[in-house]
Amino acid sequence: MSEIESLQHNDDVDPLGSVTRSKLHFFWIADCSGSMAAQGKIEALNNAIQECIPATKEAAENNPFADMVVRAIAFSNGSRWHIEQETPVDEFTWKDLSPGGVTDLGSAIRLLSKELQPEKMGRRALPPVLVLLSDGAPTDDWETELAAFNKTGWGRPGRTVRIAVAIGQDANKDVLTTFTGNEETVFEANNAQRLADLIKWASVTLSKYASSGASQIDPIPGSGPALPPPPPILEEDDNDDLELW
Amino acid sequence: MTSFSEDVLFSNSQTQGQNQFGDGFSVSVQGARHVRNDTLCQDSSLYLATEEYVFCGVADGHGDKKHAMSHIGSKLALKVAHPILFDALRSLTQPISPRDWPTIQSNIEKRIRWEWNCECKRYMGEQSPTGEWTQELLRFGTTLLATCHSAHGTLFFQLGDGDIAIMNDAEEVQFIFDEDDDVTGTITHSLCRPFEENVSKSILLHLPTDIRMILLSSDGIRDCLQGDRNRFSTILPWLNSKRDDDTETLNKWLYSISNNGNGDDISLSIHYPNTHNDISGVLPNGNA
Repeated sequence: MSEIESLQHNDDVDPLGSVTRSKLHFFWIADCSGSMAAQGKIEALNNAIQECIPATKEAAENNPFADMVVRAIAFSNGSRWHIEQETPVDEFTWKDLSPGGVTDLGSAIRLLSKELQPEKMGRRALPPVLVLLSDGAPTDDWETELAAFNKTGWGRPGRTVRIAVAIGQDANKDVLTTFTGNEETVFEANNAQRLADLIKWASVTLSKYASSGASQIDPIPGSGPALPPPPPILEEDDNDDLELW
Repeated sequence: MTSFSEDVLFSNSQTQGQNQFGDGFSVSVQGARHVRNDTLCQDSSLYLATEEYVFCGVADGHGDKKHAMSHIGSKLALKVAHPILFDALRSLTQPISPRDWPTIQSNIEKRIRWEWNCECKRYMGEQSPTGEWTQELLRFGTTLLATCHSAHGTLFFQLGDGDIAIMNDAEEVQFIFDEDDDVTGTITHSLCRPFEENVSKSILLHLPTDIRMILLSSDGIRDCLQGDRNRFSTILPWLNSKRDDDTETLNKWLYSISNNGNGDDISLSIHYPNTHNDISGVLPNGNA
């Protein structure tokens, strides 16, 4: 074993006493408006996030250079933290969301924006991953909130990895595209299996992608390095037994 | 004393030297993630002590697939920077008004960009290249932090993320440039960015005689410290205390930082000025 390799197993060599792995901030932003009650969409969302936890933990364990922490925002009539504290992925659990109310996406963006400030996050960190899950159209002034967010330190173009999942045919994909800044990062989930596949992909693959640490020079959404490809639509996703949303 | 040799830059991960202005070294260490993934060290560094000046530089190649030649781009950045900064330093003999500085600064950046574009094109096989931007240059993307120290003073230049700091006898650390709001997260300015100008920072200083150390660092160490500048500043006195240690020990320490941190490449370039030959007083002709 070379000297360099032997150092890989020595965690005590830190004269500064303050060397740490980079944090990867991961945010679920989940729509729990009344329409999510229809056709089992909210149950599918809850189940999908529950089911992706083991794979996410495994992926995090295999990444020795980043510490993934998870938070979640729920929005309907206004918004609230579903998971407020930065939760290490090892300790991450998911309490089921319940549907009811309208679709105040702007409120959720405002809540998110308060956290993604340089004063709270520092200036140097891995790009936070923002995953928006929604089945409808916003009912508040989401455009003003998004415009304000996009002008803040971490909200500015290229500083975050953003995707959105359009749950069902009624989701307003134009809104979701405006949120992500790129229509290629909005994905359709028209049944429970596809939603589960996309949520697992976001949680496992995107978190790995965001923690690569490579420098980015393109602050315009969509002009930077391409996201890893989404999961393929499998035959089972088109299963006639699955209810289409 | 040494003269510049492209072989030295391309075949060594560390350089060192000594002249009438002092002594120092540079080192680039392949990051732990790069070792794990079997990817090249994309950083480069250079310490050059000639008869007339000392040059310190670090350059951080961006590293992803889009910038697959950034390990070369970082070396070429250092190759072009040292004569340009020395020329600029030699020509800045007159008192400079704050009004004139932005133009001087802009010209330094333009010249570095132009020459770097030419060097990258030569590397790709062009016989008589010009410095216009082309798409292929993206593959060489890199930052550049450099300083040139001579009898005329010390000229600092920074384009992209990383830190330049000085430390005095009392182990007080001062950063040469303020943090840039534009480089939040992993976003950075780059030599390869098309049509981007006036994003560099430069300043000409006459350093006080009590300055013991000038440090240039890529973002590797600081990002292993949660990006905290205060924590980062503690490495200057620590490095100064280890000045007599062999380079192998330093390399192991830098690797251990990367291994316990974010796994990135790490580059440092350090100059220890002699105590007897500097002009006292700080003349802030720049924009720090």
